Amino acid sequence: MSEPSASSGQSELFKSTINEYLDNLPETVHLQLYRSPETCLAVFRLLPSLAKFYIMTMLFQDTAIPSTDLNRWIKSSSFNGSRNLSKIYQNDSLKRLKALNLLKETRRIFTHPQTGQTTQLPFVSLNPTFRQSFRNALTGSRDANEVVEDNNLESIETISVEFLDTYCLHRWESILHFMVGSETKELPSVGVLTLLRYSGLMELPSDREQREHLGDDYEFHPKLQQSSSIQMLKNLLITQNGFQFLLQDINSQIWTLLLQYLKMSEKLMMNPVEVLNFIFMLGSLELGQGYPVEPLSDTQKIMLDDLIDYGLIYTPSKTNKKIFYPTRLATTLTSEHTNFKTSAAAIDQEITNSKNSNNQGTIVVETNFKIYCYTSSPLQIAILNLFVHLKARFANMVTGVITRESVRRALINGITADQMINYLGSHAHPWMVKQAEDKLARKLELESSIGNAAGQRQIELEILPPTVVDQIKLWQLELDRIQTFKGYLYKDFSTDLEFEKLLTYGEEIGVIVWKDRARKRFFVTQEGNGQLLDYANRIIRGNS
Amino acid sequence: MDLDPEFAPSPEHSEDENNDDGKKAPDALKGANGAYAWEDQYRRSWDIVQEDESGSIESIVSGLVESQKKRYMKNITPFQRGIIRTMVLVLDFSNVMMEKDFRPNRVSVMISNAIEFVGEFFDQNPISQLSIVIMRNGVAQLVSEVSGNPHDHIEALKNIRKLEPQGYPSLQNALEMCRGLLLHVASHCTREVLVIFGALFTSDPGNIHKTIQDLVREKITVRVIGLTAQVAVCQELCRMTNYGDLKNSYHVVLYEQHFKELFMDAVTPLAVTKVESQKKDGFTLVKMGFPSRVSDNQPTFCSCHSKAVYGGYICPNCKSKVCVLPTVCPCCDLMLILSTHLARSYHHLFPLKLFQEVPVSEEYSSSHCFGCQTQFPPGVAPSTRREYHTSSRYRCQDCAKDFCIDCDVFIHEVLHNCPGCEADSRKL
Amino acid sequence: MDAIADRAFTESQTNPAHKLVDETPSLLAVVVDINPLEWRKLEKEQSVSLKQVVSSIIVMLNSHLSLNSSNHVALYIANSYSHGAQLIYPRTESSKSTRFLHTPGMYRQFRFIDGSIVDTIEHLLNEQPDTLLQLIGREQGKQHIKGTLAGAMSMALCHINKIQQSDELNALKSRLLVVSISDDSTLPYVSVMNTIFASQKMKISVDVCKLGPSSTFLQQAADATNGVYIYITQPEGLIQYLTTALFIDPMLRPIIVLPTDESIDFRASCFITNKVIDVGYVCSVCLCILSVIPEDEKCPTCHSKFDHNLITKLKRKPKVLPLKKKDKELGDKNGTATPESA
Repeated sequence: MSEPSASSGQSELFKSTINEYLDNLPETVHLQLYRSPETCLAVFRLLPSLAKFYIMTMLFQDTAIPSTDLNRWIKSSSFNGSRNLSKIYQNDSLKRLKALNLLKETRRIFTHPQTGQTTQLPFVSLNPTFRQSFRNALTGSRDANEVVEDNNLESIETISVEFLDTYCLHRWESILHFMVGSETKELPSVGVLTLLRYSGLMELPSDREQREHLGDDYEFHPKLQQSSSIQMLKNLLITQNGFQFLLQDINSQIWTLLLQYLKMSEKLMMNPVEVLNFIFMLGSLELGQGYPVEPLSDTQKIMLDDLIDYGLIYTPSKTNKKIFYPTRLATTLTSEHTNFKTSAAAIDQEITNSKNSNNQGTIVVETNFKIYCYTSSPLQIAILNLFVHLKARFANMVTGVITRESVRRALINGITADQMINYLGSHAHPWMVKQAEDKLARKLELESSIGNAAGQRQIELEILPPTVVDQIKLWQLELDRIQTFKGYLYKDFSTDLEFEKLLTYGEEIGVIVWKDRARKRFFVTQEGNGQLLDYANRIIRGNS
Repeated sequence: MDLDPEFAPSPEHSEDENNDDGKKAPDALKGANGAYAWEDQYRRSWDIVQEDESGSIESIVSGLVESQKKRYMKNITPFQRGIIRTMVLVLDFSNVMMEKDFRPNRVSVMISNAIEFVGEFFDQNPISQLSIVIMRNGVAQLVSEVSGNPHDHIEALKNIRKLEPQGYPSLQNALEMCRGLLLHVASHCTREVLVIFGALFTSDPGNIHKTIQDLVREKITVRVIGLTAQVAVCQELCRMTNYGDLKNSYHVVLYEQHFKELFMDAVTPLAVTKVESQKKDGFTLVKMGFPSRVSDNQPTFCSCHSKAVYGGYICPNCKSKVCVLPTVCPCCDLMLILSTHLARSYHHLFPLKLFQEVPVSEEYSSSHCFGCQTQFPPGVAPSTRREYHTSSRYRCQDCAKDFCIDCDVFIHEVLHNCPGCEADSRKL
Repeated sequence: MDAIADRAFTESQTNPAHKLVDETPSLLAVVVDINPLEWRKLEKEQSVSLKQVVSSIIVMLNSHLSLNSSNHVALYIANSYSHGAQLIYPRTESSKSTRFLHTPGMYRQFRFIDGSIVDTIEHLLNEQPDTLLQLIGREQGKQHIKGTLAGAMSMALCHINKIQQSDELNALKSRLLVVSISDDSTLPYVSVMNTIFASQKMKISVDVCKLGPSSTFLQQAADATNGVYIYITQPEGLIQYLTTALFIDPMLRPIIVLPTDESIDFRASCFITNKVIDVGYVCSVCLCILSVIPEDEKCPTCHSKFDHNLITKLKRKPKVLPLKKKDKELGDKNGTATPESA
């Protein structure tokens, strides 16, 4: 099968979260990173729960343990059909640990005391650097210089959290406003604009011509050296990626920008370890507390300026930077954004309706595709305008309709149906959510009253009217006839048994894209191929 | 066939039931000025709301919320209760149960409530036994035998979901079957029948009054939950079998939630009446074993079902293995039970004293709830005090610790322990 | 090929494995039994002091906080003679109402915990000997001092209940860890059982880390609530237990094998002698458990008079092979005579 199509390739940009960035760093960089306890904590928080648990079990154990011990923790329940979910989950967790070089696998040779046969057993141990730093973080033994920093802390005055919140919201909104092209009083700084351009979220008209000239597959990176004036950058236009960027929640927006910043900083010969350490350290600082600039390295001081532009950091005086204050955008960086209790979500809400912060969702979607959005924020209206045909605007509300044209326009801009649906769903009016919950409860009751346990499990919470959701997806399918996956086709199996064995294993680890039992063929994703090959080899070896 | 369609609207009847000191309206229907509630002047709910000085209604809203939560305040006088119970649940399965006044229809609401009731019943009365009977096509059918295993009953109830209600109900047939089921029940157990009655008549083969007399003789108490209106024969039935206590034994459902509440009321064991306790020559002591759980690597046979199972419980008396508890040891006839089962009923017997609301004042001795450590609102100066102000503190009379309303409700409904008293090591 | 064609409809559920375990924040409430006498004993026998254990617990609390930025911890102590059960962290007096607010500076949070816990426990330990002397001096002969473990657990449950109620989405899951050292005889039976049921109802796992003598009731508590009961024989390695077997987050429980012992002692406690028994008599009115039949034939708790005939039947000694207790005779409910009785 061929290369992934252009559109899916681009949406990849946003899937590459901080996790994937970290996974792909070389081992030497990992080792340097793990010297900092803050970074260890941040990396730890980004792991799946089971991986966290595995780390904890090994943290205070100095010797390596047999890797079968890790399997022993997992319940071997295969009631869920052929795909054992907990097994897949375990695999994922272990994969991440290995990718981050946190887990080291060693093989030890054992000799059976009686038969004299030797067997190889895999053992695992925790990365020693990580273990040391993480232990230090937990037990509270810290480096000397940090203690000094602490002592200075007391003399620095604190700034009210409200002030910092409004400050960072203002900063961040001004960037987003610039992106949607609404009239703004102040332009973001050159640094921000350069980053936006570099990351492909926005482009100059000249860039666009060049890209169109060269075709979609061409990966365009403007040269960094080419210093652009603010006058020129003012004309930046939003790209497809930019549209997608706008629909994300704020935490992932920041991470997207920071990752682009990391990539850019590598080109600028900044040490990625120092950059990452600094980002992770921000996550562990306290909101409202000032910190001295002094102990930072030179690279980090350069970063400080950039981060001030993004609104992650606040300094009282522009010229004489002695103290910096992390804002909420910075301190919530390492919080999990799956968890809606964090202030990451809170701040997200505040941005979308800063005038009316106690109201959470604002959008009402009706089955007749009409949309009512209770907002006066130009930003949210601009975002809605991306895929809704807006009809009327009132003092505190806009109305519009989702039409085939409006959705197609968005789809052509590179926004996916899922993104639109997610946006509508996550910004739905609380009343819609409540209604959906009532409906769900009633359905569940009905299913349980007729004793349909299977049906009960299938019912899901439908916040948006299903007609609207399905129609948006259908409109996407109209444009998206062919889908491509990179991978490998397995065919010409010699025996049924072999085919079945490989297929079941593949399904268990969740790497099968397509299968055809009659002709004994299946298609495996690129990532899963190695694992499946290993297994195949083991079977063959076992048979011979 | 002896149709018995006589039923009476409640007011007149309750009047001659509890003929109090000549008041105009019975207690339940009394309005604020002593007349019937419907003759009362209508009070608009928004008239009660008053703003405080700053124009906010927050404090009054929190006061209202609190007063709503106070609803749990039940009578907690420790009664002697019949803890070891045997109950027959009689469900109406006649065609009136197809009525759609509950959604989707009466019968499915009844069954869902019954399933919940069975779970809760065994949760609170772990060593009790239950049986289920339905009234359908003029006869009584046994749905599940008398047993102490909740799963059997729940399974049986799930099975009759598919059954369509049909024909007339026969109260007499059902009660006769209950008599039969309760005949062999040991003397230290209570004998109870709970009837869910949807119809307004009963179609009986003989004289139901005679059956009622038999029930009284056999000390079987019958409680009825009516779904439509009061029926005279049910009134008689309840009055006769409950020593004249109609108030606690016969109810008619007002709305769906009320149905559930009435069902759940039957979970609490009945108090032992004076008449009963005096009649008896004494109470029984039951010998019971508290087995230990074992786990084996190889499955072994259990002595109760002769099935090979991993693990089980070992009877402390004869060391035979059984697979489920509570049960009677098949070898030595010892009643086997988990001590946790017994302990589940203790709060009926040793109820926690109610906490007293601390009067509103300027200064309070406590600033935080002892349970959840939430901060209490500060005191109110007498000059600014309003009717709706509360102290939000509820004090345990024994340890003098203050609790917030949430903890108070939680402590009395779920925990049944006063954290304050338990936390003091000096008090024994 | 259908499976591929409607990807748009299936895509949202691509990774079911991650749905399996959702990363919700959780609260860890720890109850530490600091019975000074027992700790003294343990210190002599196994050379492990309360201080070491507390520092292990602090590391565990820190680890819990490091799992998720919205995680919370609470620490209670029980069985201190002077203060009974008490909340140690979070303190209410010093901090304002910020206890449940977000504190992203985890380093500060770690340090704050360390400081506040160590200070308080140190303070308590210094105070203990004097108050203990006072207590013993005042109440001569009354050696049995009521254990307050149930009190501490009750407080923790109140706290958890409040969180569950205040949070309409139930986002914060909770679990309870009990580090106990005292003997079962110090536990008030009914209160402990009540706390077990409350936590069972609230679906809160109670994990137990038992030092000193083994405990039947706490074992039952763990069993009833899907918790972990671990009896620690080598307290030096406590930290390893605390970070593995006792560190299973509520959301991981569905997929992880709990390292708990299957064999559980379900024996009950006698209401008169406070001894743990496996066969006993149960009053049919109040369900109190008796190991001996009271002399006055009246239930000691509810004062119900027992049936005299029945009692004599129960009291009959077996004729054949008299063992140490009235083990052999069968207390048949209906009073049918057993074959070997006279």
